[in-house]
Amino acid sequence: MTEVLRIRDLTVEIASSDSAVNQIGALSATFMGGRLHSVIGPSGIGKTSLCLALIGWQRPNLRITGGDTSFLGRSLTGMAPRDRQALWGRDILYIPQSSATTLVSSRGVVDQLAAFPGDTSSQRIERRLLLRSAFDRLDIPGFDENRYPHQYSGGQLQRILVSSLFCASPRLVILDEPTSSLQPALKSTVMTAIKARIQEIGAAAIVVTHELAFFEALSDGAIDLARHLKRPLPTKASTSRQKDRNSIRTLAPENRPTPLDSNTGKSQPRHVVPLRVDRLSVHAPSGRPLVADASFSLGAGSCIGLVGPSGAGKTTVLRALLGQHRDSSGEILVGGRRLPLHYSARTTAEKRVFEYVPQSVRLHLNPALTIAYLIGRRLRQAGGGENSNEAAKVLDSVFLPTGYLRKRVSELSGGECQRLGIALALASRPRILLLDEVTASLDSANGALVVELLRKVRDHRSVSMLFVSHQPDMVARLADEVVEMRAGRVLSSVISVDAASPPTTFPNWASAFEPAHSVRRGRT
Amino acid sequence: MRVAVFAIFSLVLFMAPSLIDARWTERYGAERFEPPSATHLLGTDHLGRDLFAETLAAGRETMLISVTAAFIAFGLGLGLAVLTGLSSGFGGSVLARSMDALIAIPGLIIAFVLIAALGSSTSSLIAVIIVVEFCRVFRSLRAPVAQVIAQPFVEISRIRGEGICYLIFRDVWPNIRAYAAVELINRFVSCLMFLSALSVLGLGVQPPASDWGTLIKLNAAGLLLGSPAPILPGLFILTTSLLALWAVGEERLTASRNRP
Repeated sequence: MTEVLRIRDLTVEIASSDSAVNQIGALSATFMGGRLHSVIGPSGIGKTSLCLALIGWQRPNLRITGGDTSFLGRSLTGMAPRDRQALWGRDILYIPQSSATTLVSSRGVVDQLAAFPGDTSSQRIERRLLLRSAFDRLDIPGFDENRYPHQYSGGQLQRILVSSLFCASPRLVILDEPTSSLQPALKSTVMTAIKARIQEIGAAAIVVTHELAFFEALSDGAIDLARHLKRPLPTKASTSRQKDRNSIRTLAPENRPTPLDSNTGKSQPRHVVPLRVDRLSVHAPSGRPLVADASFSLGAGSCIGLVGPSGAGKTTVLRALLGQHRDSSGEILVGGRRLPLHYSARTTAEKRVFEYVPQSVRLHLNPALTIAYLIGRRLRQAGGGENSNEAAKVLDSVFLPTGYLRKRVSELSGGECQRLGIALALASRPRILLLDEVTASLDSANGALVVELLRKVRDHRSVSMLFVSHQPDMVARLADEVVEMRAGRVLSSVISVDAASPPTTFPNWASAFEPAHSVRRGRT
Repeated sequence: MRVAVFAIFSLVLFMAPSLIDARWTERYGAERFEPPSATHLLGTDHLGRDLFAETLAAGRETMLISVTAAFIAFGLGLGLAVLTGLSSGFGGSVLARSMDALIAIPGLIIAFVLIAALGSSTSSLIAVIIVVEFCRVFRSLRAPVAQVIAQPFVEISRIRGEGICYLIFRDVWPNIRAYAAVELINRFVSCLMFLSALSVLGLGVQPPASDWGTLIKLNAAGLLLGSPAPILPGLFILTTSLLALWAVGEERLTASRNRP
């Protein structure tokens, strides 16, 4: 077993997204081949920036102030940029977090993953073979079609990125949140495969994650960045930020004042069903059915958890409700009135019935606008007050500091973006909230708080919710009913959920989160 | 900073004719194509006028026509690019293809026909240059506009029922501002070049008014006598374009830095 990467007394300053400067100091570690280490830390601390700094890529917000890293005995910090670049992608592999933005949307994923510069044609063929077996192993469909990124779901894209590890033979691989949008059963399949692969090729792996519990058992060592965090340099908002972060961890959700409690009026009568979906079918432009005959109904102030394996068509249902699919059929009834299937035929009032929180919020927000503007606009549209006080309250309800109002979306970390998405959705006071894996990129403490917030909103404002998730505990906390999907079909009839009982007691629950091996084989 | 330098330079060109001493322009009666001297800093032109004063006076005319044409062509091209990008219907593609057809016709030929019809007054020259240049603005801004419109956040805005004004001024415009700035300055340079080309050919600004191109044409005979007279207006055209492109360079840098 060889030593791959050694960090000696590395000290970095990371200008994090709230204009404070985090100083992470005295980081020393040795990464051996075949071992898996995890880097943990709260959202927004700079996990990704730090890991990129380890392999010599310095983001503009990061400054190395001391110490160095050496890769196979060569100092990476002192190396010429040219030599470093030769290592990246071959000896050092970085598998990024946001899968939707890292693949080129106009090329097939197989072509992109199998393309390594300087390959001979025989190497290229070998890589494709390796990639094919990786696709099978990680249960990703459509290798032969060489599909485009938009034809895959969030969880599938994540596994596709991971599969690049199986056709390369790096010495060091950095995986940034490789399992955040996967259901538990698949999570361990993927991680077992990754572990086997790194042992096979003798590579060291560093996993950036917020899921401490899951990775504790898997990894050979963990670096907790929160522990290495020196007192942040006393600039601007840093102190309040630190306090804020602590309060997230300690304060029980019930005690936290929620500004959204004020509006307790239940305007809608309970007997009118806010949303009924009848035999909804969606086809891809190629004619492949994505969703077939989905029917369910959503009561006022209730929440349906939409579960199922990755790629089952959960997001497609939400997109069809929003009217983004041209080729859909069936009926969407909101408050008893039929809604046109495509959004261009809907009136403005009909368009604002739904509010959608996407899986990757960053892509769905305009990078040129400030957060204050985005929130303010939604508040104005909802007929609320225009003052910045109101906007600050909204931001505070998802535990983001008020200083963020001046920022733009591109300055936020992945988890912060996700919380902002929820804040925006709540600010426009919708009747029906569509939530797509909103807790996937949050650590469990923040995820629980967000779910708690959503519960409060649901109860006090009688907002109906459709909650797509692969996390059984989150679904159990929020949903009253569960609709299970598999391969584009609604499998089970609605299962009622009692929040008090553990998720394992439901008959179909365990199977809902399993990978879709059997179904997939059956179809092809 | 660079943009400021260019802006000051343009402003000086606009103001210069009113700032310089009136006596300079009245210095007739000297020999034609005199070499530089204490009385005539840069010598005299083909009529024995002070060349420096003439060139500065021509600068105002040149800048007036090319700046106005560049702004209007830019506005027209950008507006059409955004509207066709957002409407995405049949009309949009018809418009795009007809712009392509307009680009395919050589600019000078369009100019010959239009000048024959409209004459060579300042306003008709501006109109001619706009017709030739606005389709190029449309072409080069359509791509970034289409790219922004394809982003998921624009679709979300539409689904949320935002109006066309929001889409144009909040979603599209802030995200293409950097491209637009570069395009505006590039278009100014090509307007300047096109105007000068027309004037050198004798179709542009007509005497007694003059622009830099006209001065080159009228003083061309001076080359045989070893006079710098035809070179000087050319140097002014070159300096103005280079300063503009230099300013674009900075604009490009900031544009790439601000991208996430």
